[in-house]
Amino acid sequence: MIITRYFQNKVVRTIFLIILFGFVVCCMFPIIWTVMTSFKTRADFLVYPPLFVFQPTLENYMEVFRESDFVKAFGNSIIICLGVVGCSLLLGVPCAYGLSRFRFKGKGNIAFLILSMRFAPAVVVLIPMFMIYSKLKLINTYPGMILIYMLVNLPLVIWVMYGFFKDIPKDIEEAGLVDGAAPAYIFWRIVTPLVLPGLAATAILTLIFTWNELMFALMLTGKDTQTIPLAIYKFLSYTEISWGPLSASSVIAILPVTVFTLLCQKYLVSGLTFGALKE
Amino acid sequence: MARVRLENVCKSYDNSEHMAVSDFSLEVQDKEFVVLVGPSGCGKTTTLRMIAGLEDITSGGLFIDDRLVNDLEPKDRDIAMVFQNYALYPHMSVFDNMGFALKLRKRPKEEIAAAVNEAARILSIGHLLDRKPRQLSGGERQRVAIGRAIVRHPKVFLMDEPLSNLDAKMRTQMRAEIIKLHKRLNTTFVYVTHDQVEAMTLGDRIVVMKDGLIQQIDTPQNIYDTPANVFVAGFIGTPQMNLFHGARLVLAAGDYYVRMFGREFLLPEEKQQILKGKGAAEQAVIAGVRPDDFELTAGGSGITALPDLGEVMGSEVILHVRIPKEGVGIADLSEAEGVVESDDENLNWVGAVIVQKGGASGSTEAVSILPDASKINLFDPATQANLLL
Repeated sequence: MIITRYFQNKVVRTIFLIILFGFVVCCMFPIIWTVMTSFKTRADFLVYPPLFVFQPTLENYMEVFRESDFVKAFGNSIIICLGVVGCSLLLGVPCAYGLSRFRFKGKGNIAFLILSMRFAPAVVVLIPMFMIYSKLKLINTYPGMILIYMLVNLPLVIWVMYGFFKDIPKDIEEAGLVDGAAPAYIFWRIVTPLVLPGLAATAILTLIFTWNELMFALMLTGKDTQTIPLAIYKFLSYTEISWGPLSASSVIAILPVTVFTLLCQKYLVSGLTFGALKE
Repeated sequence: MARVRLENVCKSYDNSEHMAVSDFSLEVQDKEFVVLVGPSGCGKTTTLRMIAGLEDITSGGLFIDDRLVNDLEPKDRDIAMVFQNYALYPHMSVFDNMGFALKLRKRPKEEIAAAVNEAARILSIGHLLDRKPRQLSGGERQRVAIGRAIVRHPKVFLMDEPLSNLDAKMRTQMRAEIIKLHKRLNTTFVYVTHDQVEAMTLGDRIVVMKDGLIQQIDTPQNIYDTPANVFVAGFIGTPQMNLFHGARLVLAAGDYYVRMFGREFLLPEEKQQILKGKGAAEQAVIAGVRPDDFELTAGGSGITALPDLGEVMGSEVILHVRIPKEGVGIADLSEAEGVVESDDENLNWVGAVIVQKGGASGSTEAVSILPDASKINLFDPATQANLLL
């Protein structure tokens, strides 16, 4: 009651809104700046003080799309991301379910081992991975890139989904068993729909990481499989920084993740299990 | 319709020495309503889950209609279960929840619809069929959970504390509905509860459990009248049975008396016969008298007791009284000396007495009370068992 009244107070409310607004501006500023720059001509974005009102142009975007490497990289990123998200969920979700539901020897150790893969910085495994990939001829291949990103993302998928599965009351699955459903049916038709928010969240996190990753891409891709961050990186050369195309390609790179996140948003609404059980 | 038989069923987890359920033997007759009751951790839910097939049986045999089902999957046992937390499928409508089991059995849509509608009609939830569980109240969800069980017409209904999450009013209402449902469906029910009122009102027979062991199996009335041991005496009945730890069984002129509070009470003929049959010797006993087996006596001819407080229940009053030890006057009785349960007959005794309203008010004036000697139970202080069984 006291807390409710506190937040109803107009002054307090206004202060909190100002702080929130300031935070949003700080977060959004680089993106807004990039978007604005992507629509400016070379003359406009070199002006100081910067122009906030200007004649927009699509020239930078045209230049990006004229760059055949960029279009190819865009396609590569989509292929690799779909592969990583799909395979990570396909493997990680049943793994998380098994960890959350079944009792077996060494369960704690396995769970810790999975998590420990995230302890070391990715750069530590870069050289060994490069050697292994060279031997296995996985450098500059889609399966190679999907595998390396799965290695990084699986612990995340497993641990996030483990939390979601643990929150599903066992009674619901047992009710399914008594009703006559097979365990696989229960997993796919009863449990999985209940963890959709978790699936959506992990899919988004996996996608964002894979889409934006530069270090592994730099070392393990070649001309055929280079990804978006590499293509953007190429607009920074020794002789000049092409601010216009760099900003335009960045805006294009942001778009797919934004669309995917918006599509998944409705599944992110929590509380789907409410009503199944008496809280 | 089915008989359920458990023969020396034991359950231990992870091969530990501790038995969650020990040597459990029970035969539930066809169409019988059996209630398993006991405090938390007594093994009642584990037993129910073993019947359902949700827990493995460590040793012993479980038979449904004389068929050993120990290793049968839950779906092959033809049972339905109502869970304590309802366990409805949150992403399905009420209709889909109720029709789920039939859908899995690949029954035609018309048959499923007819069965769901019939169950919904019985439970008065026809108007809720399109809703999701989260849109229902606690009572409605409970009805849906029961509805989900009855659409299949299973051989045995298993219910695991289905009313424990409802408020008092709804619980009373649903209790009556479950009794009606049992009569209507004419099927075997096994019901688990920790609430002895539910056990008394619902069960044809009650199984009282403690620490994984059966304490007593009998009809509610028999359990109330002659509890098998001190635990059952204390567990069944509200307020619980009064236990006089300092009582003594006395044999005089061939008749048995119970001596307590400096008086001797002649036991009725039926109890005399039982004790004679056993050749019971004079011994210290724990005497048990239900609070409603006392009566107020006029003119101070009974035992003088000092009420600490009186709970007015409407038609009756529960007096929480103290009776002084021998040689102590009622005026000298101080609150600090009161003990609830003690083997020392020299201490004051504290207990409850139910009297009809009008006989006493909620005041703390000293009253004169007498136990009904025909209703006294006698327990062996060493074994805690009822000497009259």
